[in-house]
Amino acid sequence: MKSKTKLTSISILLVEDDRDALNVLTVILTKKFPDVVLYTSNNGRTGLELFKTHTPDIVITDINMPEMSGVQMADKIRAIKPDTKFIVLSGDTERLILQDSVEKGFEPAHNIVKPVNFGVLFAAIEQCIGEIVHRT
Amino acid sequence: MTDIGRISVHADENILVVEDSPTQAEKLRYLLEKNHYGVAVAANGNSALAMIEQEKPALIISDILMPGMDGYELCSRIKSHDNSCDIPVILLTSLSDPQGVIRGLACGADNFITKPYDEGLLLSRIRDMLENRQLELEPSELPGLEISFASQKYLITSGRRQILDLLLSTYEAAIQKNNELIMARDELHMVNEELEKRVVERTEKLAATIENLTVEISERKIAEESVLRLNRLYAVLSETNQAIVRTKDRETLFNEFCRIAVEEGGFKLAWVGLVDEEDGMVKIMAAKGATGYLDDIKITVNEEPEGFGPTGISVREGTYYICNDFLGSPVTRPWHDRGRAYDFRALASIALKQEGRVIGVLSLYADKKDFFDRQQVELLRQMGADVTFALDNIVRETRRQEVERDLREETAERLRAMESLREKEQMLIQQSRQAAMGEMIGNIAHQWRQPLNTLGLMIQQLLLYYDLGEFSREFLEKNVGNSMELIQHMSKTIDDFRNYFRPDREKIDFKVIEAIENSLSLLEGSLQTPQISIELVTKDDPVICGYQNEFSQVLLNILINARDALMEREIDDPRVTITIFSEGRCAVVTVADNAGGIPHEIMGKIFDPYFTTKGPQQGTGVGLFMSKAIIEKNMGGRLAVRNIANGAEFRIEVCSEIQD
Repeated sequence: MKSKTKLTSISILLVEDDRDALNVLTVILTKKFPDVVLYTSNNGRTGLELFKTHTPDIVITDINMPEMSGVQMADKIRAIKPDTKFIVLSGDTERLILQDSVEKGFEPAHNIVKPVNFGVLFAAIEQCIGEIVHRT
Repeated sequence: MTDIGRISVHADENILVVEDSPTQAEKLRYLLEKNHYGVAVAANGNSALAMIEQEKPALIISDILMPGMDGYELCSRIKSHDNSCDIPVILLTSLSDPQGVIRGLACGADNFITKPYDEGLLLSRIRDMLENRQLELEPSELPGLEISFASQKYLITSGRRQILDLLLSTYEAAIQKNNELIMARDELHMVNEELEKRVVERTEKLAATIENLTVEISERKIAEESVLRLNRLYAVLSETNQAIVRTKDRETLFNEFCRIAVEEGGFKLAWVGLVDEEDGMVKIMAAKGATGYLDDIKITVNEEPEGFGPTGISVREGTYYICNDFLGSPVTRPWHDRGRAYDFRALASIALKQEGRVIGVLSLYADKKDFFDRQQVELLRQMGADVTFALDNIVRETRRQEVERDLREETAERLRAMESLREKEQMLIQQSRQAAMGEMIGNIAHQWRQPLNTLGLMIQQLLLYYDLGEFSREFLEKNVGNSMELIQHMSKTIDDFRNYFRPDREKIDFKVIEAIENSLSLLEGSLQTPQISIELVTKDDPVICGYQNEFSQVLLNILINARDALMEREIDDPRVTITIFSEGRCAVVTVADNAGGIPHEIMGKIFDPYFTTKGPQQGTGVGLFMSKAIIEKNMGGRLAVRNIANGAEFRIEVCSEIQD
């Protein structure tokens, strides 16, 4: 029962600078996970603001973004809430950046290489939700 | 037809001239009128008869040979007519044959004048006839006389006076002819005498000439012998000079000289010797003729009997030495026996010099005592000078060749260096191109990743919606529209890159701002990642005539360098300011960053090929080198760098060639 309540209160922060990608992802996540509360942002800075306000359970983020990159944002979020689940959507060129940040202690729960496959993304989200539910 | 002529003051003394030649008629008229006779002229017999009928002249002078009626017939007609038989008729004839005289008499002519007529004779005859006219009037008392001549019969009816006149005329003519003959004979005689005189004169002159010639020939024979010897020496000199021109090395020159001296100069022996500086021995370098003489010979320039011979003397004194009595002179004593065996009687030694230093001798042996006279010595001296000159030339030539060879080698070396430099440059260009390609592929990848991802999301959305039962035409339409937009965008991206990589074929006018915007759009992704803020300051809108893509490439290189510096130094607020402005007729673009500037020690090297501060994975070290080449070599502009307050500033300057 408790978990049920928890499940309904699961929230996700989605940060993606590409307008079209953000739109599609927003639509499909809403459709796929109608019970999840979804916050969206198109850059790291506003994404961080949203996190501070809503402290979502899962953060799905792009790496390469203007103003503040996904990694920079993740560093600041981890400082606020270390057990936040991160699902990183990265391109091949960003692998080095990610590798570097992993060495510095940032280990996202899932790293999905673009172009993003829905099946993989959904599985990752479901796994995260499962872990959160299990943990609580 | 009728020619009345001019009536003179003596109207009764009119003379009719019958003459077919107008020239001769006129000549006669002139003569007669000058002597105050009236003259009428008839061109032929018929018109003469007509004129006589009209007006009776005092006298008639008629030519004989005329067309139609001749003079004899005219005369007969005149004499046979009662009205005119009393008019005296003078026939102009040659009187050269008796037949003419008889025909004249037969026709009743009163007188004959020989042609060409003597003017005085003609006038006196006219005068006489006019005076004797009265006498003529006596009737002919004698019957006609028939004579036969040259098997022709003639009837002479002339009176005595007429016959007498005619005979007188004939006689006169004969006398005249005779006088002419005598004169001609006298002239001939004179000419003959003159000729004889000239022949005598010529003969005398010829004799004198022959005498002179004989003397000359004998004198020449005497001179010839000495000339012959001189000529031979001249031949030697001339041949030697030719050899000097031909030959390029010392050995050949010496051999040629000896050969010429023997073959052309008729010398018994000729040799060239060089002095060995160490032991003073004279070493034979070339010889021709009776070379057996030289076998084991000892000639030196040292203080010994063999060192005081002609060779020793000419070497020591640096000129020449003549020994005109080889077998008698004490100087040649060490070689008397040898010389006798080869019948050497005279010797000339001439010192050879090379660059002012005596190096050896030329020696010539003759078979006659006192062979060398003053003129010959002069020639030999000249020969020595010529050979010396040649030796100097050879030395110079050898040196020149050495210098030339060195120069050639150096040139070849330089060419090789240039070639390898060119190869290196080619390699650099290749590397630079590859680096640019790599950068571009990275950029394409970056610019495609995002839309590819979105496209993937959109396509997967179709299936998801279908599964959720929300698949509608409206949704599909929207999805396809969005997808197509993305595909168009991706297509444009590769077009941009392809255009950028298309080589510029010719210079075009392009706006600097467009080239810069092009570079920025290509770099969009790679400047975004480190969040570098780009500020574009457009003060003017200059146009450059040149290669737009190359210009864009230069900007790209500079921007990438700025990006790398900013990232490497982890600048907090990375920014790049691009400023475009005009300065006179030059377009200027400055690219300034805040990466802290270029270290002083590498400032002078950043445009060098292969110079890089980046690691081997990132930098090839050719970007700025190529950029400088593009701006300065291809577009005639200038690319420079300097440090500003907190960073580096690159300055591209391209000026228009023609000022409007």
